[in-house]
Amino acid sequence: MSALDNPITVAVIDRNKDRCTAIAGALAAGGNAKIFVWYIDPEPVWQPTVPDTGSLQMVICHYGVSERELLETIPNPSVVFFGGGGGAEISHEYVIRREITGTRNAISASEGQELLEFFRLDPEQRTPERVPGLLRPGFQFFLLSLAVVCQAFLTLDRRLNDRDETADRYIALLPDRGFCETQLERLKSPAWWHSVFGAPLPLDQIKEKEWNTSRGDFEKVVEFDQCLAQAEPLKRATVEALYGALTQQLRL
Amino acid sequence: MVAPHPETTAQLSESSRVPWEAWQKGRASFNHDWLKNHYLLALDTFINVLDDLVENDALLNEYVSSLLPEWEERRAEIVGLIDEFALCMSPRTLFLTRPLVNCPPMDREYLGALVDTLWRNRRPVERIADDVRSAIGVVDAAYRELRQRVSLSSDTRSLSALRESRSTFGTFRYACLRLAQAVEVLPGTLEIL
Repeated sequence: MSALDNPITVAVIDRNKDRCTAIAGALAAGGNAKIFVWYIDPEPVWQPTVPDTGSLQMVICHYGVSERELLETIPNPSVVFFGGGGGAEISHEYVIRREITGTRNAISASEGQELLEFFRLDPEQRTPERVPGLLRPGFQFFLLSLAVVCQAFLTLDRRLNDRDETADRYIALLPDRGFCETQLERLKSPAWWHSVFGAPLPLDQIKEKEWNTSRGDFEKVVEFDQCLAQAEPLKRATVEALYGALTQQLRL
Repeated sequence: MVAPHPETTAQLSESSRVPWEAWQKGRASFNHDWLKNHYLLALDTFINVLDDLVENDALLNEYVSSLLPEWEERRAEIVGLIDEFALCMSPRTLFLTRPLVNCPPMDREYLGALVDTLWRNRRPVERIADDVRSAIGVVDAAYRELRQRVSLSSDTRSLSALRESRSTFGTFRYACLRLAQAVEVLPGTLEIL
């Protein structure tokens, strides 16, 4: 019998019932876990009743005053905090590093699975490289930077090459055609991308630290890196393919 | 034309490696930690005390003298956050840190200005900020009226005296709630639009 066969006992503590049950649902879909939830509706309630809070191995807890007070009554769980503001305000070892304001952007089943797998490990096995992407600082940082340059590339290209320049009225805000041509030529150069993002792109680092495998196709990033390696001017379609994968990944 | 690069961006890069993180922390500290999970909760409970739904003598004794005036202490935070919103939360700020800080200076300038222009035109940045400023103004007005009414009370710890201002407390609560909602509309992450 492997460790995976043992259900992990988890509590989700969040005064917001809808968000609480959405997170619990994602965890339930993500793996073998016995899940308890605590919320306020209109009185504080456990569902189902927790027979012994000492049996809770892991707690996902909203960083609110009432939730933290309750947490103090639970002995020795592994705690993951989350906050409405993306966890920026929270100083703790494990924090969900993105905004969870309600059911709309609660964690996904695959993210739930990642969390459960990580906290099934013995504490000494929870090494930095095993920390789920959801809990890593700087999440979506390199990718955002790639996306912003893709956006600039595509905007300049549209300004120069799309027949109907009024299709996007904001393109009209861009500088004159000559300036755009010069800048686009610079961005077409693989050497430019390499000088900014590294040569080759740090694919392992991106995948390990920032890529959420449940969203978007990482192969598009690999293909883009291969295009850069060919040292030929980038084509619009190449950048569009990368930008498409990034917008899916980053939910832009 | 694209917007000129603000001089203050250079100052930001010195004071904070990633300005949007500091801004988000400030927003979370004000709206999530203080306004929603402290100030409004206390106000809700206080109104419940006025309505005889709960008893809480400690809160009754300290609310008007200690808790209510916290608005005066904290309002400068949200005013400052709104003033810095467009500067700190523009995707242009990505060019202040790695990897985009590796861009040649000329590219940092025009690419930053380009994405900033797109962001400001596709996201109603000024309108969102103005909505929050307007909500702050409504809270200020409700607060002034409340303070005025309470100052006329014979005893700011007397339940019966404070009940005479019950509707004004309700108005103030609604104004605070609307402010919290307006702040929530501000993006919580960097956006590329």
